[in-house]
Amino acid sequence: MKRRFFIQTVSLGSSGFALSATLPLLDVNGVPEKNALFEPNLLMSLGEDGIVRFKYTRHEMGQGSFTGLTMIFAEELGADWEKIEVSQADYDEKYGNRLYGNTGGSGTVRRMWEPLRELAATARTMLVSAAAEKMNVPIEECFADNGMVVHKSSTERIPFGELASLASHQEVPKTVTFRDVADYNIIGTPKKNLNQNKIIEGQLQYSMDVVIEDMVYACIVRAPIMGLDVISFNSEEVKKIEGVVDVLQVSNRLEEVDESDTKTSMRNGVAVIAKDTWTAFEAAEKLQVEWTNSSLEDGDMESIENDLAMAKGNSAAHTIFETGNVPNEFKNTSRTFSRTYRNPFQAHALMEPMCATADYREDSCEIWSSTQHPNRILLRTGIVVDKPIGFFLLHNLPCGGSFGRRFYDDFITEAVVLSKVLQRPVKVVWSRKDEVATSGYHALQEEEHTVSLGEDGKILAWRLREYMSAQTEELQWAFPFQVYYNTQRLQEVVQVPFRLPIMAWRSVQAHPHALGLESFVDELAEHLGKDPLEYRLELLENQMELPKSFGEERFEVNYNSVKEILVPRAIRVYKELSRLRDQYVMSNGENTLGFAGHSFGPTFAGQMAEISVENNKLKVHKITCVVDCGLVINPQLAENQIEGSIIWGLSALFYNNVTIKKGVVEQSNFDDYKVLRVDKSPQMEVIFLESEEAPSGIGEPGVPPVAPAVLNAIYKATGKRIRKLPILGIDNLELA
Amino acid sequence: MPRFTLNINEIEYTVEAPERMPILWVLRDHLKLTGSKFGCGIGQCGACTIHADGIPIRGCCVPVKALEGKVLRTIEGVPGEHPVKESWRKFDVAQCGYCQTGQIMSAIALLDRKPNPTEEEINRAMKGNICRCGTYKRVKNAIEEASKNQIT
Repeated sequence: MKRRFFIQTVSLGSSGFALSATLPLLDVNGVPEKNALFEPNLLMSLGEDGIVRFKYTRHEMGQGSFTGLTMIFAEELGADWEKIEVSQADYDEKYGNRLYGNTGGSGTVRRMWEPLRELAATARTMLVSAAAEKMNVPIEECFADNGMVVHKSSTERIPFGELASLASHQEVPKTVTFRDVADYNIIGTPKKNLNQNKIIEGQLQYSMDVVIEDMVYACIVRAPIMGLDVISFNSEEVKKIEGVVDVLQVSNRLEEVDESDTKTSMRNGVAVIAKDTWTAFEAAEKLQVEWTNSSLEDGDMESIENDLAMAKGNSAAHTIFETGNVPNEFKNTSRTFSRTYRNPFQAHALMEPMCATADYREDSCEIWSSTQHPNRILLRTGIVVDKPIGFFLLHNLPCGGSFGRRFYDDFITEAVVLSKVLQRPVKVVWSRKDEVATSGYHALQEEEHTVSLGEDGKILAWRLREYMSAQTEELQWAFPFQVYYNTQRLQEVVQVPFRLPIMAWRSVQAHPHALGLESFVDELAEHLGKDPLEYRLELLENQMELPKSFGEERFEVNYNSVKEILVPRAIRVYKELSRLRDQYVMSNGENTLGFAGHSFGPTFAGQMAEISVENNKLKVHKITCVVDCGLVINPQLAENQIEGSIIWGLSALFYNNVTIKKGVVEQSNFDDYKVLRVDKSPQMEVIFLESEEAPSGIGEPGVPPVAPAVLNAIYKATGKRIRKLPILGIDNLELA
Repeated sequence: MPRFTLNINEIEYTVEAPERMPILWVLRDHLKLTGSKFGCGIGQCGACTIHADGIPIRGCCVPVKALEGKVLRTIEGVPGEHPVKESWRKFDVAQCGYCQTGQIMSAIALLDRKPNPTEEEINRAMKGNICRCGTYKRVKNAIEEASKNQIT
């Protein structure tokens, strides 16, 4: 067998991104191989058939970046959209964090925008160079478009396929020039979800659909309260059930070996192994486990109220962000205005419950599952079985929704641990009850906004205090995704005792932040006798100077992104909302309007909710969302994302509420953890503001404004201000 | 273990399974027909919707024993050019796609029964199918479109 090795190319572009280009492929003697394939980087292969084969190195969970990244790559390459094929890349450390980092924070397109274009532009330059050589004309006279290299003056054209071999021998350029936005013919055009056909035929393979020869199925009865351990269980009785293969205890070893956050790792439990899923589910129902005790067993909703009351008496607050001297201002002030808003624990209730299949062998472990963060889950799973990341081969399959849940390692660790013990492939399937009742949740949280007001109504200081039930790691999420930096500000977090594990949930902290902030600004506007939209614009247009050190790297929010990107975007969005309001008023619209906007990363989204309330019956007629997310890669799928976000936000507003009794989650399925269904779904309209700025993410920004926009409208319609979610049942409110 | 003869997508299958086993798991684990999805196990979400004698049923709740002698149809038995599949494609309905085979089976059953459904009828027929990606608007649009394009 020929040994292959790669020559690294020089760094390219200002980012210094090493291309890991594999050009040319050399044999053992260092001679370029005769190769019909053009494989200028880790993500692309072009053969004589002219098909560009592109690898997708993130996780597809319905957000559409499987299609979006392919569009970006195809566009920059100058490819023919009909002749590009995309496939999911297995996880491999060779891709590095830049190409195969986590999928989250609405950041896939935003973070891949530069690296993908660098790779594609390099490949394009080499194809053009090959064509110039073949046509014997200067490179400058040629350009790539629609899967061909064209000679400008003679209009002679050579399809990519005919250039594959020659291109692989071209020198790798040291610099590349990106295509001009004006020349784009793929980006900005509506393209269909590249998985659509497989989905419609029932042929898209999700984790749940994996079948491996000789595999067994596992259903795990997990600790009903995080941290409980198994004392005993009726193993012999359950083993007698026909179809049951084994009954095994599983223990979370991560706590012993890794001190980093363990609240989101695998729970202790007992696994029932069976010949099929249903037998495993049924047998698990018959399993009786005796658990250790926990102080968390005292926890019910009243204890949470006590937790919050205690936390409010407790002055130990972590400062998240501070400008000026807010405490001093509050000492001297005579006029304050303060309101508090409540967000409950919420579950993900994704459609496909978690699932992972592992085949653990002596020298490697193959995994079929779906994860937003392969590096993290393999690292943490590796700690449990004492293996390095390279030991695992992870097939990262598309999933049936994730919304933050598949960032975490528990379900994959379970499959790996069980396969190691059983020495055969194991598929761990979570039931719906497992997913709702023994998971991690969107944090229960109160947001207390207090401002000190001058005689003229000017805000002199603004304090936001958040009371969060969260493990320490999540305090970092308390970053203010906000745009009103018009006064001295203090943002603090007060930790409320741990009750349930906290996990990322679509739009994460932006959801409670928007509920609090955008309700508060409306209340403040009313208090000051101002129009809510004009007041927002007034605050936005009178910003103070931010400290240059301002920001949070992990959210790509910093001084410049706020000042140069977010604030101007917020202003544009609110101006458009004002125009839409005028238009609605002119058309004699009968319903009541409410507004709210919020940022998520560098994207800003604002919404206008049209509602009516009659005899306590609420109807949300329509939600219009105005979005500034920079360049829109795929208007079709971007619109889907915003529509889906509105539905998500309404589920949270109307229904989503995880409660506990004796420390245990009370909900278990869609009957008691309700989500929005088609009959209550409103009309929707999505408006993208035109922009040529870098694309900034679309999966989550549509969620945060939903609740405050509807609540602001409800107040206007009824005079009742609701400050907590979910809203149905409060003062007998129901849906029409 | 009891044996059952099932007529699925015009093919006859013989399976050995406990009589209480829901048809969903017979399809998925025994016959490897994985287009019908598991979502809730209690008939709340509709991801497992299939047809028995043309009636939409929740596969996660109906035991295999009850379906002997019935004509069963799953997503795999619906031709690619079926008007409902065509309109799903046209409106690019699916995001993650996990619930969509169930949505499509509910939509086909509705249109077979009511070729020109009102919005109210669409809501009633489809509210048993949850979509957490929130594709409801497109689901409705696609059904309205398919209703126009049906071969009658």
